[in-house]
Amino acid sequence: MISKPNPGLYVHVPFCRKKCNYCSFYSIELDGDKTGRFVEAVNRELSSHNVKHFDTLHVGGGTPSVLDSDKLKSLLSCCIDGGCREKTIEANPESLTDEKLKIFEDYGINRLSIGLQSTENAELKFLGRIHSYEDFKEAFFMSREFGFENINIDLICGFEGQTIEGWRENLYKTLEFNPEHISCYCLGIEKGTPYDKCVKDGKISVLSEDLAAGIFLETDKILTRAGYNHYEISNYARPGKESLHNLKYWRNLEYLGLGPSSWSCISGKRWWNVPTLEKYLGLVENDRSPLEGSESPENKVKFYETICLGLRLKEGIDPEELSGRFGIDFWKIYENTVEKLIAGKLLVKSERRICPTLKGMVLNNYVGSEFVLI
Amino acid sequence: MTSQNIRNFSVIAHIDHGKSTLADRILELTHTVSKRDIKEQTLDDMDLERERGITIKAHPVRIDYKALDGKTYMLNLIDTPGHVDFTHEVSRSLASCEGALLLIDASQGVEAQSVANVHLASEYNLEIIPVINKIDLPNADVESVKRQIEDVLQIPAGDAILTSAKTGEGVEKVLEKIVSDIPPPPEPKENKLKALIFDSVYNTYRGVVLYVRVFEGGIKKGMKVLMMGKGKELEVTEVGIFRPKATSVDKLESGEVGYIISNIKTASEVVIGDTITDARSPVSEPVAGFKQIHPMVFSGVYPSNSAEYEILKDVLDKFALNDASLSYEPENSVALGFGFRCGFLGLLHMEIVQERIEREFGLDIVMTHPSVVYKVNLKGGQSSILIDNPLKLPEQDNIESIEEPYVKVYVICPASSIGSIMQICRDRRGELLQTETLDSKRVMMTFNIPMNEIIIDFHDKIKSATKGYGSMDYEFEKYKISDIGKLEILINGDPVDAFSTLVHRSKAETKGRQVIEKLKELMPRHLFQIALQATVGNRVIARTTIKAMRKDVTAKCYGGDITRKRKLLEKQKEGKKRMKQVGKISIPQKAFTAILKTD
Ligand SMILES: Nc1nc2c(ncn2[C@@H]2O[C@H](COP(=O)(O)OP(=O)(O)O)[C@@H](O)[C@H]2O)c(=O)[nH]1
Ligand code: SF4
Repeated sequence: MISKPNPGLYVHVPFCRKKCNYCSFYSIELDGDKTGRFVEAVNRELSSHNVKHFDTLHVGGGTPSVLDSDKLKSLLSCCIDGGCREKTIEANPESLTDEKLKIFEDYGINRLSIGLQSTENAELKFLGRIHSYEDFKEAFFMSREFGFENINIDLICGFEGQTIEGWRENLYKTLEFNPEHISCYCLGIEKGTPYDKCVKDGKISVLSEDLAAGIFLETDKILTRAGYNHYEISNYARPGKESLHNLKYWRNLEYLGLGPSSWSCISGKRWWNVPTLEKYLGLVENDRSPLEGSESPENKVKFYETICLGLRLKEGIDPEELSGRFGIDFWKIYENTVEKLIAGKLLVKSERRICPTLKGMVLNNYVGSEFVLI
Repeated sequence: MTSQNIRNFSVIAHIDHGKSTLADRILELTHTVSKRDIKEQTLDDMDLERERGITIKAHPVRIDYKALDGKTYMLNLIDTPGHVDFTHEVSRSLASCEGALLLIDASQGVEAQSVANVHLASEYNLEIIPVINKIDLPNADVESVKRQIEDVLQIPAGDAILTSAKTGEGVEKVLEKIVSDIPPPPEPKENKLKALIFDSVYNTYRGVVLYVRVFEGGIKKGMKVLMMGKGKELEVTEVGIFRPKATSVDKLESGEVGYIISNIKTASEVVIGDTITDARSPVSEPVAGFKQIHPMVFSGVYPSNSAEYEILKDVLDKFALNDASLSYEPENSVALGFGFRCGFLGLLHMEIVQERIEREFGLDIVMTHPSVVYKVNLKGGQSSILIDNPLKLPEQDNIESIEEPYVKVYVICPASSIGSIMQICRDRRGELLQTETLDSKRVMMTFNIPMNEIIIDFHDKIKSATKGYGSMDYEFEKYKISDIGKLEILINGDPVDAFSTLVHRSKAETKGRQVIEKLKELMPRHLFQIALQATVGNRVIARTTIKAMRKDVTAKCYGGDITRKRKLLEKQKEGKKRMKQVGKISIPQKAFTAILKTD
């Protein structure tokens, strides 16, 4: 038996240069005064937890690269654990400088995730991004020069006005960079964002389901052909370059989250921090826990939750492993469900695993809900 | 007391014209209840009645009145429901009276329900006393209302009584008029018991309480009586009157109104309108003239959750305890499982039952498209059958003709809405019989309309076309041969029974199109494409398709999204579970009821 891997560590850096139209992540526009307090608070929060060793590190947000060099250094020095296999930091082109790359290198960051979102400047403008394609190009090559050999590029698809041709163009241009990893997120309309308001006011229409599905399939086709492994619904990687940290989410494993609005899941318990920096600092600076709420789903719930998550992954799920992990007989409950979904070409059996087909991936909610036990 | 001093009367009034308020004033003035005890409006009990401003159950109240002539009279006030659907209840209340007050709001004038109820009262040869109420209102127009009473209702209104039920003005005059104008009960021909059951109400402790009007003879505690229609004997365990609380008495005499209690467990053991007589020496003829009224609108009622069939059955049984006019029998549907075919007096009755089942019993139900009762004449003979369910329509080859019920509809509305009312009625195959002018602003229009056309949202349409000022009522006219066909909805080629309806062929195409468009809107996408078709006979009259589901996925799923996503999937699963399965197709429950309101 392999020993349980250490949890992943996630740090939520809640600052951005400017808020993007569609974004519902918690972040505020950069406030030099607060960054120092934030970094300090993260340090304190981390030391309040018992967990000291981590398998992966993901510094996300927000835009971690907007922190100035001093703050970056103190943030990284507190959360880098030598045993970490994967250490990722998210960066946006407009704030990724020579100096910061140097810091990343010094602190052992071994994976960068850069937000390109689109290769077309008009689209970037529409999304409310402040960088241009040229900015990205410069940032990317600079990173390569520094020797970063594991870089993810974030793309967004499925917004108004997009066509299959336009999207293909985006993909081809992205492939020119030959990144190790590409995330393609179909734009969701998140409540409360300016984008959402435009949709509600009828200023922007929503992409038709058919076109969105077409884009999804086209992405799979192009990137798979280019040698990427379509290992999760929205994620593609060169073989072996799958994100270890993110896999923890999809395999429903353990992780510790730091910072406002972050989530943690350790020893069967899931908890979440207060949603704003204001509240977060208020608590942590007074030596109080920033936890806002928690849940400990019952075993059965964790069981089907794990199945639903696992079916986001091309590797799918291993019924025997799940039966053992949760002490629930998978086949006894799901024999018919699986049969039905296999007949519907949504799932396939592959040796001892059950994996989603491409159709099963694009209909993941439908497939997942079939496993919910209520 | 001699029956010469008895006066039995009802009040006919349109909703809100002040019937309850007037009743309260009468009870106060006669000291039947003290002012203190009157919780606003003594006669309406149930919440629902209060909300909708209608009285469902008629409570007879005994009032002692010392008249100006020095004598004391026994007045029995028999309440009537104000709404169209309860014509049968009005009818049986009227059957126990000799007279009726026609109460009209001086600021509103004659409304449609008064018209229909006056017609009924005349059928029973009742003395009608016009009372014009709310004369205290600044916009009261007594002269115009008098003219309307004479023109539209053909009742002399010269000496109509003017009242304000609010201030009490004129109320005593009403009582005097009741005494002077309403005839006492007729002298009994025989001394044998003959009483009409005009209503019943269920009481948890006492069982079924019967409201009776004694026409001849008398009824006492301990007596063995026979219900003539049912042929069932009962022993009377209590006799009493309402003043307005139930008070037991020794005996009810000829001409009196009151209640009797016997060992009756459910309302269905009793037929309202039945005659009670002495079991030892029965009369030969029952009380004449009471119209037995049958349900006019039928609909399938199913539990949302099929496991709750037994609960639904219990609920309907409970209902039947109190409401003998509700009929129900088991039925099943491929789409909806096991349920009941319920018969209602009208659409309002149906809505009330539905609402009470959901509200009081907390049971979610699905109701299918309501249907009127059609008369199907079969080929090769004289025989004909009545059908209340489209699924029971015989094979086309065996049908000679189909008849549908027609009703006479009275609509009273502002003259400015004549055009839109005409349009609504014409759209519903109505024929305008006449238009009468009521006053400078209002008219009454009389239409002949197939009943089928008014059972869905007709009332709402009239209300909105008249900005709330219109009123309507209807009465059954007759059956007429009509070009009726069965509209079926096919999903991927298979008809779904619960969607079948009988329609006039001229309406089939529009209706069929509306239904499938509505379904298209409400049905979820499936993994495969779905063809929807509407057919009449074997002819497809409308079709459309629901495309297959192409994408159903959450793009991002990291730490905090996991719980959210699980909840989303749980909701999705819940939704799937609540849908009705027809083969491989899931149909949301909403679809079954939403097709009722297609335009
Ligand atoms: N101003 C005025 N209002 C009245 C009079 N009679 C009844 N009302 C009001 O009219 C409304 C309807 O009366 P109600 O007795 O409930 O009518 P019902 O539906 O016929 O029983 C209530 O708000 C009463 O207070 C009256 O003579 N004058
Ligand atoms: S999308 Fe990224 S850069 Fe834009 S506001 Fe959100 S977190 Fe900040």
